[in-house]
Amino acid sequence: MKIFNNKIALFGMAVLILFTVFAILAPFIAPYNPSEIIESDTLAPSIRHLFGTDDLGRDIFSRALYGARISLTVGFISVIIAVILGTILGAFSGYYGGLVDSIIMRFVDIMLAFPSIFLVLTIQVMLTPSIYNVMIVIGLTSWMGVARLVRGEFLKIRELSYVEAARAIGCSDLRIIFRHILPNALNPIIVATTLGMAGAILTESALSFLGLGVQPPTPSWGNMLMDAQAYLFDAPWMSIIPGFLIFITVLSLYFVGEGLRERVENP
Amino acid sequence: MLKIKNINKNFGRLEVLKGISFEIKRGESLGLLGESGAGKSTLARIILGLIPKDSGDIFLNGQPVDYSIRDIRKIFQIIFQDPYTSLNPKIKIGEAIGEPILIHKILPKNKIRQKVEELLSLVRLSKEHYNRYPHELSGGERQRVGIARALSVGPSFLILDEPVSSLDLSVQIELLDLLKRLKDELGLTYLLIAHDLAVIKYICDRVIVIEKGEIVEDDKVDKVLTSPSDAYTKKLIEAGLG
Repeated sequence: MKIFNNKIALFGMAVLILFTVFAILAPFIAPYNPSEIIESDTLAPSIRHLFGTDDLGRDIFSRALYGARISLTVGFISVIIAVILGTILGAFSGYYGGLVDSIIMRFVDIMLAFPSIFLVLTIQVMLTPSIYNVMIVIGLTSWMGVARLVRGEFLKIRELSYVEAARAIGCSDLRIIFRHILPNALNPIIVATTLGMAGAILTESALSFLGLGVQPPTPSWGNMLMDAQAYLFDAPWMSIIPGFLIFITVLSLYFVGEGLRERVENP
Repeated sequence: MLKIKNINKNFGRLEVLKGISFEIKRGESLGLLGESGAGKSTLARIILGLIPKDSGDIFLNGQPVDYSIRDIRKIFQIIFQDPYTSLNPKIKIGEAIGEPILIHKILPKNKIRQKVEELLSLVRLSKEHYNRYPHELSGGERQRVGIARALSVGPSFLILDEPVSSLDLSVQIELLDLLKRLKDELGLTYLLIAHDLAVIKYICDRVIVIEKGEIVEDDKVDKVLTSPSDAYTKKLIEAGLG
Protein backbone atom coordinates (compact mmCIF):
# COMPACT_ATOMS: atom_id res chain seq x y z
CA MET A 1 0.00 0.00 0.00
CA LYS A 2 1.12 3.45 -0.96
CA ILE A 3 0.18 4.94 2.40
CA PHE A 4 3.09 3.12 3.97
CA ASN A 5 5.46 4.97 1.66
CA ASN A 6 4.08 8.26 2.91
CA LYS A 7 6.35 8.96 5.89
CA ILE A 8 4.26 11.77 7.30
CA ALA A 9 1.08 9.70 7.26
CA LEU A 10 3.00 6.82 8.77
CA PHE A 11 4.21 9.09 11.57
CA GLY A 12 0.63 10.21 12.22
CA MET A 13 -0.56 6.62 12.26
CA ALA A 14 2.17 5.66 14.75
CA VAL A 15 1.24 8.54 17.08
CA LEU A 16 -2.46 7.63 16.94
CA ILE A 17 -1.80 3.96 17.62
CA LEU A 18 0.52 4.87 20.51
CA PHE A 19 -2.02 7.26 22.05
CA THR A 20 -4.84 4.75 21.62
CA VAL A 21 -2.81 2.05 23.35
CA PHE A 22 -1.96 4.45 26.18
CA ALA A 23 -5.60 5.45 26.50
CA ILE A 24 -6.80 1.84 26.62
CA LEU A 25 -4.13 0.84 29.12
CA ALA A 26 -4.50 4.00 31.23
CA PRO A 27 -5.58 2.16 34.42
CA PHE A 28 -2.45 -0.01 34.26
CA ILE A 29 0.02 2.67 33.23
CA ALA A 30 -1.19 5.61 35.30
CA PRO A 31 0.96 5.85 38.46
CA TYR A 32 -1.73 7.70 40.45
CA ASN A 33 -5.49 8.11 40.62
CA PRO A 34 -6.18 11.02 38.21
CA SER A 35 -8.76 12.66 40.50
CA GLU A 36 -6.95 12.19 43.79
CA ILE A 37 -5.00 14.96 45.48
CA ILE A 38 -1.73 13.25 46.22
CA GLU A 39 0.86 15.96 46.49
CA SER A 40 1.34 19.64 47.05
CA ASP A 41 0.09 21.75 44.15
CA THR A 42 1.88 22.87 40.99
CA LEU A 43 5.01 20.78 41.34
CA ALA A 44 7.28 21.02 38.31
CA PRO A 45 7.86 17.85 36.25
CA SER A 46 10.19 15.41 37.99
CA ILE A 47 10.90 11.67 38.11
CA ARG A 48 8.02 11.14 40.55
CA HIS A 49 5.61 13.23 38.55
CA LEU A 50 6.63 13.07 34.89
CA PHE A 51 4.41 15.96 33.84
CA GLY A 52 4.30 17.65 37.25
CA THR A 53 1.17 18.25 39.34
CA ASP A 54 -1.71 20.65 38.81
CA ASP A 55 -3.25 23.40 40.93
CA LEU A 56 -4.95 20.85 43.20
CA GLY A 57 -1.91 18.60 43.51
CA ARG A 58 -3.10 15.91 41.10
CA ASP A 59 -0.63 14.00 38.93
CA ILE A 60 -0.78 15.49 35.41
CA PHE A 61 0.68 12.39 33.73
CA SER A 62 -2.15 10.26 35.10
CA ARG A 63 -4.69 12.92 34.19
CA ALA A 64 -3.30 13.15 30.65
CA LEU A 65 -3.64 9.37 30.25
CA TYR A 66 -7.24 9.33 31.43
CA GLY A 67 -7.89 12.53 29.48
CA ALA A 68 -6.74 10.71 26.32
CA ARG A 69 -9.48 8.13 26.94
CA ILE A 70 -12.13 10.83 27.14
CA SER A 71 -10.86 13.02 24.32
CA LEU A 72 -10.29 10.16 21.88
CA THR A 73 -13.61 8.51 22.73
CA VAL A 74 -15.55 11.74 22.39
CA GLY A 75 -13.78 12.49 19.09
CA PHE A 76 -14.42 9.03 17.74
CA ILE A 77 -18.06 8.63 18.79
CA SER A 78 -18.98 12.15 17.67
CA VAL A 79 -17.49 11.64 14.25
CA ILE A 80 -19.22 8.26 13.92
CA ILE A 81 -22.58 9.90 14.70
CA ALA A 82 -21.82 12.62 12.13
CA VAL A 83 -20.70 10.13 9.48
CA ILE A 84 -23.72 7.85 9.89
CA LEU A 85 -26.13 10.77 9.73
CA GLY A 86 -24.29 12.47 6.86
CA THR A 87 -24.00 9.23 4.90
CA ILE A 88 -27.68 8.37 5.17
CA LEU A 89 -28.89 11.86 4.25
CA GLY A 90 -26.28 12.28 1.51
CA ALA A 91 -27.10 8.85 0.08
CA PHE A 92 -30.83 9.53 -0.19
CA SER A 93 -30.15 12.99 -1.55
CA GLY A 94 -27.81 11.79 -4.27
CA TYR A 95 -29.72 8.63 -5.15
CA TYR A 96 -33.22 10.03 -5.43
CA GLY A 97 -32.36 13.54 -6.61
CA GLY A 98 -35.28 15.88 -7.35
CA LEU A 99 -37.40 17.04 -4.44
CA VAL A 100 -35.74 14.78 -1.85
CA ASP A 101 -32.37 16.18 -2.87
CA SER A 102 -33.59 19.80 -2.72
CA ILE A 103 -35.09 19.39 0.75
CA ILE A 104 -32.04 17.66 2.23
CA MET A 105 -29.55 20.05 0.62
CA ARG A 106 -31.45 23.16 1.75
CA PHE A 107 -31.42 21.69 5.25
CA VAL A 108 -27.64 21.26 4.90
CA ASP A 109 -27.32 24.88 3.79
CA ILE A 110 -29.30 26.05 6.81
CA MET A 111 -27.17 23.99 9.18
CA LEU A 112 -24.00 25.33 7.57
CA ALA A 113 -25.24 28.90 7.79
CA PHE A 114 -25.34 28.66 11.59
CA PRO A 115 -22.00 29.51 13.15
CA SER A 116 -21.68 26.00 14.53
CA ILE A 117 -19.65 26.80 17.64
CA PHE A 118 -22.49 29.06 18.85
CA LEU A 119 -25.04 26.42 18.01
CA VAL A 120 -23.05 23.87 19.98
CA LEU A 121 -22.65 26.30 22.89
CA THR A 122 -26.36 27.14 22.94
CA ILE A 123 -27.41 23.51 22.95
CA GLN A 124 -24.84 22.66 25.60
CA VAL A 125 -26.04 25.48 27.85
CA MET A 126 -29.58 24.17 27.62
CA LEU A 127 -28.65 20.55 28.26
CA THR A 128 -26.93 19.21 31.33
CA PRO A 129 -23.29 19.06 30.36
CA SER A 130 -22.17 15.45 30.18
CA ILE A 131 -19.80 13.46 28.04
CA TYR A 132 -22.75 11.85 26.21
CA ASN A 133 -24.36 15.18 25.42
CA VAL A 134 -21.03 16.45 24.13
CA MET A 135 -20.78 13.54 21.71
CA ILE A 136 -24.36 13.88 20.49
CA VAL A 137 -24.17 17.64 20.08
CA ILE A 138 -20.89 17.53 18.17
CA GLY A 139 -22.22 14.71 16.01
CA LEU A 140 -25.46 16.53 15.22
CA THR A 141 -23.66 19.71 14.18
CA SER A 142 -20.89 18.29 12.01
CA TRP A 143 -22.53 15.88 9.56
CA MET A 144 -23.10 18.36 6.73
CA GLY A 145 -19.72 18.01 5.06
CA VAL A 146 -20.13 14.24 4.95
CA ALA A 147 -23.65 14.58 3.53
CA ARG A 148 -22.39 16.75 0.67
CA LEU A 149 -19.49 14.44 -0.02
CA VAL A 150 -21.64 11.29 -0.03
CA ARG A 151 -24.25 12.99 -2.22
CA GLY A 152 -21.55 13.79 -4.77
CA GLU A 153 -20.30 10.21 -4.78
CA PHE A 154 -23.84 8.87 -5.19
CA LEU A 155 -24.56 11.24 -8.07
CA LYS A 156 -21.48 9.88 -9.81
CA ILE A 157 -21.97 6.18 -9.05
CA ARG A 158 -25.72 5.96 -9.70
CA GLU A 159 -25.04 6.56 -13.41
CA LEU A 160 -22.71 3.57 -13.66
CA SER A 161 -23.87 0.54 -15.51
CA TYR A 162 -23.71 -1.87 -12.57
CA VAL A 163 -26.37 0.21 -10.82
CA GLU A 164 -28.63 -0.17 -13.84
CA ALA A 165 -27.77 -3.88 -13.82
CA ALA A 166 -28.86 -4.08 -10.17
CA ARG A 167 -32.13 -2.43 -11.10
CA ALA A 168 -32.58 -4.81 -14.02
CA ILE A 169 -32.34 -7.86 -11.76
CA GLY A 170 -34.96 -6.32 -9.47
CA CYS A 171 -32.99 -4.90 -6.50
CA SER A 172 -34.93 -2.55 -4.24
CA ASP A 173 -33.77 1.06 -3.88
CA LEU A 174 -32.48 0.39 -0.36
CA ARG A 175 -30.48 -2.58 -1.56
CA ILE A 176 -28.99 -0.56 -4.41
CA ILE A 177 -28.11 2.28 -2.03
CA PHE A 178 -26.53 0.22 0.73
CA ARG A 179 -25.28 -2.90 -1.04
CA HIS A 180 -24.29 -1.60 -4.46
CA ILE A 181 -23.41 2.08 -4.21
CA LEU A 182 -22.26 2.67 -0.63
CA PRO A 183 -19.39 0.13 -0.65
CA ASN A 184 -18.03 1.91 -3.71
CA ALA A 185 -18.25 5.31 -2.00
CA LEU A 186 -16.49 4.17 1.17
CA ASN A 187 -12.97 5.47 0.52
CA PRO A 188 -13.77 9.19 0.57
CA ILE A 189 -16.02 8.57 3.59
CA ILE A 190 -13.08 7.05 5.48
CA VAL A 191 -10.97 10.11 4.64
CA ALA A 192 -13.75 12.39 5.87
CA THR A 193 -14.04 10.36 9.08
CA THR A 194 -10.36 10.80 9.85
CA LEU A 195 -10.38 14.53 9.19
CA GLY A 196 -13.73 14.89 10.98
CA MET A 197 -12.34 13.25 14.10
CA ALA A 198 -9.67 15.95 14.29
CA GLY A 199 -12.40 18.59 14.18
CA ALA A 200 -14.45 16.76 16.81
CA ILE A 201 -11.50 16.58 19.20
CA LEU A 202 -10.91 20.32 18.77
CA THR A 203 -14.59 21.07 19.41
CA GLU A 204 -14.60 18.89 22.50
CA SER A 205 -11.51 20.71 23.78
CA ALA A 206 -13.09 24.09 23.12
CA LEU A 207 -16.31 23.08 24.90
CA SER A 208 -14.49 21.63 27.89
CA PHE A 209 -12.23 24.66 28.01
CA LEU A 210 -15.34 26.81 28.32
CA GLY A 211 -16.68 24.52 31.02
CA LEU A 212 -19.53 23.22 28.84
CA GLY A 213 -18.00 19.92 27.89
CA VAL A 214 -16.63 17.13 29.99
CA GLN A 215 -17.21 18.02 33.63
CA PRO A 216 -14.57 17.88 36.39
CA PRO A 217 -13.30 15.86 38.10
CA THR A 218 -13.29 13.65 34.94
CA PRO A 219 -10.18 14.77 33.09
CA SER A 220 -10.23 15.63 29.41
CA TRP A 221 -7.49 17.49 27.58
CA GLY A 222 -9.86 20.43 27.16
CA ASN A 223 -10.78 20.85 30.80
CA MET A 224 -7.14 20.36 31.83
CA LEU A 225 -6.44 23.43 29.73
CA MET A 226 -9.22 25.28 31.49
CA ASP A 227 -7.68 24.46 34.88
CA ALA A 228 -4.35 25.75 33.58
CA GLN A 229 -5.60 29.21 32.62
CA ALA A 230 -4.73 30.91 35.91
CA TYR A 231 -1.29 29.29 36.09
CA LEU A 232 -0.05 30.09 32.61
CA PHE A 233 3.22 31.58 33.91
CA ASP A 234 3.53 30.00 37.36
CA ALA A 235 3.03 26.42 36.15
CA PRO A 236 3.39 26.43 32.35
CA TRP A 237 3.51 22.60 32.20
CA MET A 238 -0.16 22.55 33.18
CA SER A 239 -1.11 24.13 29.84
CA ILE A 240 1.75 22.95 27.66
CA ILE A 241 1.11 19.23 28.25
CA PRO A 242 -2.62 19.03 27.31
CA GLY A 243 -2.14 21.70 24.62
CA PHE A 244 0.64 19.70 23.03
CA LEU A 245 -1.37 16.46 23.23
CA ILE A 246 -4.34 18.05 21.47
CA PHE A 247 -2.03 19.60 18.89
CA ILE A 248 -0.15 16.42 18.10
CA THR A 249 -3.32 14.28 17.97
CA VAL A 250 -5.13 16.64 15.63
CA LEU A 251 -2.03 17.03 13.49
CA SER A 252 -1.61 13.23 13.29
CA LEU A 253 -5.23 12.82 12.23
CA TYR A 254 -4.71 15.38 9.48
CA PHE A 255 -1.53 13.63 8.34
CA VAL A 256 -3.29 10.28 8.16
CA GLY A 257 -6.37 11.82 6.53
CA GLU A 258 -4.32 13.58 3.86
CA GLY A 259 -2.30 10.41 3.27
CA LEU A 260 -5.52 8.43 2.77
CA ARG A 261 -6.93 11.14 0.53
CA GLU A 262 -3.88 11.01 -1.70
CA ARG A 263 -4.16 7.25 -1.86
CA VAL A 264 -7.87 7.40 -2.70
CA GLU A 265 -7.52 10.09 -5.33
CA ASN A 266 -4.55 8.50 -7.13
CA PRO A 267 -5.17 4.78 -6.95
CA MET B 1 -44.83 -13.80 -27.21
CA LEU B 2 -43.95 -10.11 -27.04
CA LYS B 3 -45.82 -7.44 -28.93
CA ILE B 4 -44.60 -3.85 -29.08
CA LYS B 5 -47.12 -1.32 -30.31
CA ASN B 6 -46.47 2.25 -31.34
CA ILE B 7 -43.83 3.13 -28.74
CA ASN B 8 -42.81 6.78 -28.50
CA LYS B 9 -40.12 8.32 -26.33
CA ASN B 10 -38.71 11.83 -26.18
CA PHE B 11 -35.78 13.09 -24.15
CA GLY B 12 -36.66 16.74 -23.84
CA ARG B 13 -37.11 17.95 -27.43
CA LEU B 14 -35.24 15.02 -28.92
CA GLU B 15 -37.51 12.35 -30.39
CA VAL B 16 -35.66 9.11 -29.72
CA LEU B 17 -38.37 6.60 -30.66
CA LYS B 18 -41.13 7.38 -33.14
CA GLY B 19 -43.91 4.85 -33.21
CA ILE B 20 -41.98 1.60 -32.95
CA SER B 21 -44.09 -1.56 -33.48
CA PHE B 22 -43.01 -5.15 -33.89
CA GLU B 23 -43.61 -8.64 -32.60
CA ILE B 24 -41.36 -11.41 -31.34
CA LYS B 25 -42.51 -15.03 -31.38
CA ARG B 26 -41.61 -17.47 -28.63
CA GLY B 27 -38.23 -19.06 -29.30
CA GLU B 28 -37.35 -16.54 -31.97
CA SER B 29 -34.11 -14.54 -32.18
CA LEU B 30 -34.77 -11.09 -33.43
CA GLY B 31 -31.90 -8.79 -34.36
CA LEU B 32 -32.14 -5.06 -33.84
CA LEU B 33 -29.71 -3.21 -36.08
CA GLY B 34 -28.90 0.47 -36.12
CA GLU B 35 -26.15 3.02 -35.70
CA SER B 36 -25.31 4.36 -32.26
CA GLY B 37 -27.88 6.96 -31.34
CA ALA B 38 -30.60 5.25 -33.36
CA GLY B 39 -32.56 4.50 -30.18
CA LYS B 40 -31.76 0.78 -29.78
CA SER B 41 -30.70 0.91 -26.15
CA THR B 42 -33.57 3.20 -25.23
CA LEU B 43 -35.98 0.69 -26.72
CA ALA B 44 -34.31 -2.11 -24.75
CA ARG B 45 -34.63 -0.17 -21.50
CA ILE B 46 -38.28 0.57 -22.17
CA ILE B 47 -39.04 -3.10 -22.83
CA LEU B 48 -37.26 -3.95 -19.55
CA GLY B 49 -39.14 -1.23 -17.69
CA LEU B 50 -35.95 0.55 -16.60
CA ILE B 51 -37.18 3.81 -18.10
CA PRO B 52 -40.80 4.82 -18.74
CA LYS B 53 -42.24 5.16 -22.24
CA ASP B 54 -44.12 8.27 -23.31
CA SER B 55 -46.84 6.35 -25.14
CA GLY B 56 -47.52 2.97 -26.72
CA ASP B 57 -48.20 -0.53 -25.44
CA ILE B 58 -46.21 -3.62 -24.62
CA PHE B 59 -48.00 -6.96 -24.49
CA LEU B 60 -46.65 -10.22 -23.11
CA ASN B 61 -48.62 -13.23 -24.31
CA GLY B 62 -51.52 -10.92 -25.09
CA GLN B 63 -51.54 -9.20 -21.68
CA PRO B 64 -50.32 -5.63 -21.14
CA VAL B 65 -47.06 -5.73 -19.15
CA ASP B 66 -47.23 -4.29 -15.64
CA TYR B 67 -43.76 -3.05 -14.73
CA SER B 68 -44.70 -2.23 -11.14
CA ILE B 69 -44.60 -5.96 -10.36
CA ARG B 70 -41.13 -7.06 -9.41
CA ASP B 71 -41.70 -10.53 -10.83
CA ILE B 72 -41.49 -9.07 -14.32
CA ARG B 73 -37.71 -9.22 -13.77
CA LYS B 74 -37.98 -12.99 -13.68
CA ILE B 75 -39.28 -12.98 -17.25
CA PHE B 76 -37.30 -10.17 -18.91
CA GLN B 77 -33.55 -10.07 -18.43
CA ILE B 78 -30.71 -8.22 -20.11
CA ILE B 79 -27.05 -8.78 -20.94
CA PHE B 80 -25.24 -5.48 -20.88
CA GLN B 81 -22.80 -4.17 -23.42
CA ASP B 82 -19.79 -3.47 -21.26
CA PRO B 83 -18.79 -6.35 -18.97
CA TYR B 84 -16.23 -4.09 -17.30
CA THR B 85 -18.74 -1.63 -15.88
CA SER B 86 -21.84 -3.78 -15.53
CA LEU B 87 -20.45 -5.82 -12.61
CA ASN B 88 -20.10 -4.21 -9.19
CA PRO B 89 -16.33 -4.15 -8.43
CA LYS B 90 -16.95 -4.78 -4.71
CA ILE B 91 -19.14 -7.86 -5.09
CA LYS B 92 -17.72 -11.33 -5.59
CA ILE B 93 -18.78 -13.32 -8.64
CA GLY B 94 -20.65 -15.94 -6.64
CA GLU B 95 -22.65 -13.36 -4.76
CA ALA B 96 -23.38 -11.37 -7.91
CA ILE B 97 -24.86 -14.44 -9.61
CA GLY B 98 -26.75 -15.51 -6.48
CA GLU B 99 -28.17 -12.06 -5.75
CA PRO B 100 -31.19 -12.26 -8.08
CA ILE B 101 -32.07 -15.67 -6.61
CA LEU B 102 -31.80 -14.21 -3.12
CA ILE B 103 -33.85 -11.07 -3.67
CA HIS B 104 -36.61 -12.87 -5.55
CA LYS B 105 -36.58 -15.62 -2.87
CA ILE B 106 -36.47 -18.27 -5.58
CA LEU B 107 -34.51 -20.71 -3.43
CA PRO B 108 -33.79 -20.95 0.33
CA LYS B 109 -30.45 -19.37 1.26
CA ASN B 110 -28.61 -22.64 1.81
CA LYS B 111 -29.48 -23.88 -1.69
CA ILE B 112 -28.22 -20.78 -3.50
CA ARG B 113 -24.56 -21.71 -3.61
CA GLN B 114 -25.29 -24.99 -5.34
CA LYS B 115 -27.47 -23.25 -7.91
CA VAL B 116 -24.77 -20.64 -8.56
CA GLU B 117 -22.23 -23.40 -9.18
CA GLU B 118 -24.62 -24.99 -11.67
CA LEU B 119 -24.99 -21.64 -13.42
CA LEU B 120 -21.21 -21.20 -13.50
CA SER B 121 -20.79 -24.50 -15.26
CA LEU B 122 -23.70 -23.69 -17.58
CA VAL B 123 -21.75 -20.68 -18.89
CA ARG B 124 -18.49 -22.68 -18.89
CA LEU B 125 -16.88 -21.04 -15.89
CA SER B 126 -15.37 -23.06 -13.07
CA LYS B 127 -16.31 -23.25 -9.39
CA GLU B 128 -13.08 -21.41 -8.60
CA HIS B 129 -14.58 -18.24 -10.00
CA TYR B 130 -17.09 -18.18 -7.14
CA ASN B 131 -14.87 -16.26 -4.74
CA ARG B 132 -13.19 -14.00 -7.29
CA TYR B 133 -13.78 -10.31 -7.80
CA PRO B 134 -14.70 -8.96 -11.26
CA HIS B 135 -11.28 -7.31 -11.75
CA GLU B 136 -9.63 -10.72 -11.57
CA LEU B 137 -11.54 -11.91 -14.67
CA SER B 138 -11.07 -11.29 -18.39
CA GLY B 139 -13.69 -9.47 -20.43
CA GLY B 140 -15.08 -12.70 -21.85
CA GLU B 141 -15.28 -14.30 -18.42
CA ARG B 142 -17.06 -11.27 -17.03
CA GLN B 143 -19.60 -11.36 -19.81
CA ARG B 144 -20.25 -15.03 -18.92
CA VAL B 145 -20.88 -13.90 -15.35
CA GLY B 146 -23.35 -11.35 -16.71
CA ILE B 147 -25.11 -14.12 -18.62
CA ALA B 148 -25.19 -16.44 -15.59
CA ARG B 149 -26.60 -13.62 -13.48
CA ALA B 150 -29.34 -12.90 -16.00
CA LEU B 151 -30.20 -16.60 -16.27
CA SER B 152 -30.30 -17.14 -12.49
CA VAL B 153 -33.96 -16.10 -12.28
CA GLY B 154 -34.96 -18.41 -15.12
CA PRO B 155 -36.09 -15.77 -17.61
CA SER B 156 -37.78 -16.66 -20.88
CA PHE B 157 -36.89 -13.46 -22.72
CA LEU B 158 -33.37 -12.05 -22.95
CA ILE B 159 -32.32 -8.73 -24.37
CA LEU B 160 -28.71 -8.84 -25.52
CA ASP B 161 -27.52 -5.24 -25.70
CA GLU B 162 -24.39 -5.35 -27.88
CA PRO B 163 -23.22 -8.35 -25.84
CA VAL B 164 -19.91 -8.84 -27.64
CA SER B 165 -19.05 -5.43 -29.08
CA SER B 166 -16.48 -4.62 -26.40
CA LEU B 167 -14.68 -7.98 -26.64
CA ASP B 168 -11.87 -9.38 -28.80
CA LEU B 169 -12.90 -11.09 -32.00
CA SER B 170 -11.93 -14.61 -30.89
CA VAL B 171 -13.83 -14.17 -27.63
CA GLN B 172 -16.82 -12.78 -29.54
CA ILE B 173 -17.32 -16.02 -31.44
CA GLU B 174 -16.96 -18.10 -28.27
CA LEU B 175 -19.63 -16.01 -26.58
CA LEU B 176 -21.98 -16.03 -29.54
CA ASP B 177 -21.69 -19.82 -29.64
CA LEU B 178 -22.50 -19.96 -25.94
CA LEU B 179 -25.55 -17.73 -26.43
CA LYS B 180 -26.74 -19.88 -29.31
CA ARG B 181 -26.37 -23.05 -27.26
CA LEU B 182 -28.14 -21.56 -24.23
CA LYS B 183 -31.03 -20.46 -26.39
CA ASP B 184 -31.56 -24.00 -27.66
CA GLU B 185 -31.00 -25.66 -24.27
CA LEU B 186 -33.24 -23.33 -22.29
CA GLY B 187 -35.74 -22.41 -24.98
CA LEU B 188 -35.05 -18.69 -24.70
CA THR B 189 -36.30 -15.84 -26.83
CA TYR B 190 -33.69 -13.25 -27.82
CA LEU B 191 -33.74 -9.64 -28.84
CA LEU B 192 -30.17 -9.03 -29.99
CA ILE B 193 -29.11 -5.42 -30.34
CA ALA B 194 -26.05 -4.74 -32.50
CA HIS B 195 -24.56 -2.23 -34.88
CA ASP B 196 -22.87 -5.04 -36.79
CA LEU B 197 -24.96 -7.24 -39.09
CA ALA B 198 -22.41 -10.07 -38.93
CA VAL B 199 -23.15 -10.55 -35.22
CA ILE B 200 -26.90 -10.57 -35.88
CA LYS B 201 -26.51 -12.99 -38.78
CA TYR B 202 -24.67 -15.41 -36.47
CA ILE B 203 -27.60 -15.79 -34.11
CA CYS B 204 -30.79 -14.37 -35.60
CA ASP B 205 -33.20 -15.37 -38.30
CA ARG B 206 -34.99 -12.05 -38.53
CA VAL B 207 -33.75 -8.48 -38.27
CA ILE B 208 -35.26 -5.08 -37.68
CA VAL B 209 -33.33 -2.02 -38.78
CA ILE B 210 -34.00 1.26 -37.04
CA GLU B 211 -32.88 4.68 -38.14
CA LYS B 212 -33.45 7.80 -36.06
CA GLY B 213 -36.12 6.13 -33.97
CA GLU B 214 -38.07 4.56 -36.85
CA ILE B 215 -38.18 1.04 -38.21
CA VAL B 216 -36.99 1.06 -41.82
CA GLU B 217 -36.71 -2.69 -42.38
CA ASP B 218 -38.18 -5.87 -40.89
CA ASP B 219 -37.35 -9.08 -42.68
CA LYS B 220 -35.35 -12.34 -42.74
CA VAL B 221 -31.63 -11.70 -42.24
CA ASP B 222 -30.66 -13.38 -45.51
CA LYS B 223 -33.14 -11.34 -47.47
CA VAL B 224 -32.00 -8.08 -45.89
CA LEU B 225 -28.40 -9.01 -46.65
CA THR B 226 -28.96 -9.81 -50.30
CA SER B 227 -31.64 -7.33 -51.26
CA PRO B 228 -32.19 -4.58 -48.68
CA SER B 229 -35.23 -2.50 -49.45
CA ASP B 230 -34.02 0.63 -47.73
CA ALA B 231 -31.15 2.91 -48.66
CA TYR B 232 -30.04 3.26 -45.01
CA THR B 233 -29.85 -0.52 -44.60
CA LYS B 234 -27.73 -0.72 -47.77
CA LYS B 235 -25.37 1.81 -46.27
CA LEU B 236 -25.11 -0.19 -43.03
CA ILE B 237 -24.43 -3.43 -44.88
CA GLU B 238 -21.78 -1.83 -47.04
CA ALA B 239 -20.15 -0.24 -44.01
CA GLY B 240 -20.18 -3.54 -42.12
CA LEU B 241 -19.18 -5.99 -44.82
CA GLY B 242 -17.39 -3.92 -47.43
